[in-house]
Amino acid sequence: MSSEIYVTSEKDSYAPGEIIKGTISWNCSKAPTNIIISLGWKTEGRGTCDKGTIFEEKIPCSRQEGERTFEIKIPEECPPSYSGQLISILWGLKASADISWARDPKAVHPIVISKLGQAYRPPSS
Amino acid sequence: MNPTLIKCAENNPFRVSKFESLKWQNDNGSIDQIFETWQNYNFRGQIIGNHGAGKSTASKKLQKKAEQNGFECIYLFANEESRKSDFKLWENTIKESNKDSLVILDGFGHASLLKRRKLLKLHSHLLIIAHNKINKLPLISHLAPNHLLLKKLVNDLAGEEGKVALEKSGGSEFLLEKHNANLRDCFFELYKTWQKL
Repeated sequence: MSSEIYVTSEKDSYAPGEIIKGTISWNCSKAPTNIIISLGWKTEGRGTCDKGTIFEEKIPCSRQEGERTFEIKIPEECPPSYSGQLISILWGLKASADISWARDPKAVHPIVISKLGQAYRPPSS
Repeated sequence: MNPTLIKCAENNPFRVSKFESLKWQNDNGSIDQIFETWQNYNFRGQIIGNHGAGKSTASKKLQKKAEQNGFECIYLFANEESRKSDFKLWENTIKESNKDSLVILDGFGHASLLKRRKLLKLHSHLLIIAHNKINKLPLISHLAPNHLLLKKLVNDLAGEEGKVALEKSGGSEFLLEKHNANLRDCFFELYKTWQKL
């Protein structure tokens, strides 16, 4: 049996300072030792990629399958989602399960962090 | 071309994260074959090639391959911005390393002549990565990408869209020559061409 993990959020777009409410669910080949949830950003484009994690929590776990909710406060000061021609800043919620001696399942749920409700774009695009 | 696709960095098939995740390919042999050659020379030798020929990518794959085979493998990197202190760090790291470990010195040519001589004496299992052949170390591989490889990589990255971008950029032979066989620069140009398609 392969292991699976999913992460979702109530909304797809958040403003800085807001609280992300979401759910992680997992169904693994054996009980993970931890479920890890994180919020981070990465850059994509023509230059060297960069990334940052602004929140990470390890949740001890003893059940092979389950579901739990989480809340993450987005800092007021953070790079907003941006979709340009040379660079894009992409935000995402990442969930993974620590399973000893087995492949750790991972899932990423993209979200937008912006006051506009969508990624900022350069005027020409 | 998908008309609904917004032409932004995260959709560009020639973005850095995408071409860096390509499977390493070379006409002179696979990573396994290069590793075997390195091993046959008792893990002492050099890999040479132009800027953007895939030397650093190859050396990181060799490090992984070495570790999979049970060797401790130290990878040290330098470029034109590296300072004397960086090479001092190389020296100290090599001195502290186990004599059975393997050491990869990526950007060896950026060290001063004196430092190079010193570094070469510090460890017997060295792999030098440089643009030009340095001293008498055995040549493990000379990475020189050709236009057929570029064509294949473009196809792997972007399929039909890649073909169009390549044609608009003058074709694989023209592009590779224009950028002195620097694959990375070819991808950078294709990145811009794709934006305009």
